[in-house]
Amino acid sequence: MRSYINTLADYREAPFEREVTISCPESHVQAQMRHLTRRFKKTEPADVLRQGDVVTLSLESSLEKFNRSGVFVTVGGGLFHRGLEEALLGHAPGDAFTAKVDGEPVKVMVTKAVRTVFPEPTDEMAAAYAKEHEEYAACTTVEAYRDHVAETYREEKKREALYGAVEQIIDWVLTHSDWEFDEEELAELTAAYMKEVRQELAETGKKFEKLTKEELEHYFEVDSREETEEMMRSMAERQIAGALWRGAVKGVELTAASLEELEEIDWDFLEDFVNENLTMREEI
Amino acid sequence: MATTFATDETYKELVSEGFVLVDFFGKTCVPCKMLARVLEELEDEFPFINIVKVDVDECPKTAEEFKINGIPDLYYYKDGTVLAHEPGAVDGEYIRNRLTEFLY
Repeated sequence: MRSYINTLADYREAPFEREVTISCPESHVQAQMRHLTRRFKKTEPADVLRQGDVVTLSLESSLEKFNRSGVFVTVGGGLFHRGLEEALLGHAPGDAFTAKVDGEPVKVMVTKAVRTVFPEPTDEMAAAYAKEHEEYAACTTVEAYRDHVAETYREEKKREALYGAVEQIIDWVLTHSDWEFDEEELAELTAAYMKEVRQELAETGKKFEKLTKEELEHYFEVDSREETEEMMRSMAERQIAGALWRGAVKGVELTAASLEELEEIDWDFLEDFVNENLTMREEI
Repeated sequence: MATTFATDETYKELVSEGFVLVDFFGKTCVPCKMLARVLEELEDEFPFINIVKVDVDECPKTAEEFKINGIPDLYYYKDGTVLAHEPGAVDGEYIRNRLTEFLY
């Protein structure tokens, strides 16, 4: 490596959230229950609209998005417009009303509404699901499935807490250390990132140099191509610094090592440190 | 329209019209199974979204044409044109944001 470390902050001094409480919300369990029952679901006409109903709307407004017919919307699904979806609650097919969106009136006609009805899960359904899904093989009752869903959720949240803490520490060390980046090394890695960006874009028929401001905002959350390149440079700095840091912790001779070699060193020392210092409380 | 399984022969027709979400997957791939559950939940909530599933082992020509090197790989189509593609097991919230952008 031609880049090097001037001073390296001690990761053991980094602040991070040391106590986390983990619980699985009932709404998550209920949503997962649908996997057991979905093959038995039925669709029926909906009367008074409620959350989850799928409606077909005719809309009239000066706002382009709200001036069309045959629009499919799931009430409360949040994909179309939360305010308008809320205004649909309590209406019925055939109803016409005017809602306000961004201060503009929108004439709404509910032309059709359907509801998907899921049956109550049974042990037979759980057993059938367990047969077809290896990872749920032991969940042959509704209760076992429910426990598995909640446990999987809590495990996921534990992992998130662990990696969240690791990320916090990495950020702290990277910003509290002093790095000397070799311009050529940095430029090579930045160019490699930019190449990846161009390839990704090419797969959707787009060219980086021709991206509009809106597309730049969408893809990279930046306003200009220059900012995108700066972002890639920051990523390259972070990658080099992270690799140097891991190499230093493991006692590698950094000037003799390549970036690829250092990249193979994992963050186990950091994960071990977090595991030893993070208290997770489970609420069941 | 619910979820449809594509073959090399039917793929182009299935994505030719309207908004379509395509899931390139493999039967034994664990992240694919995670994404499959996310797509099932989306299908239940938004049954008007067309979902096409492509088993890369069953559809080698299509997988090769799209240079699918890793699975799962999600493609968003509108009237036969690719709007975006997302390699990896993206979460439901992320896909919802993409749907908001592309559907309306």
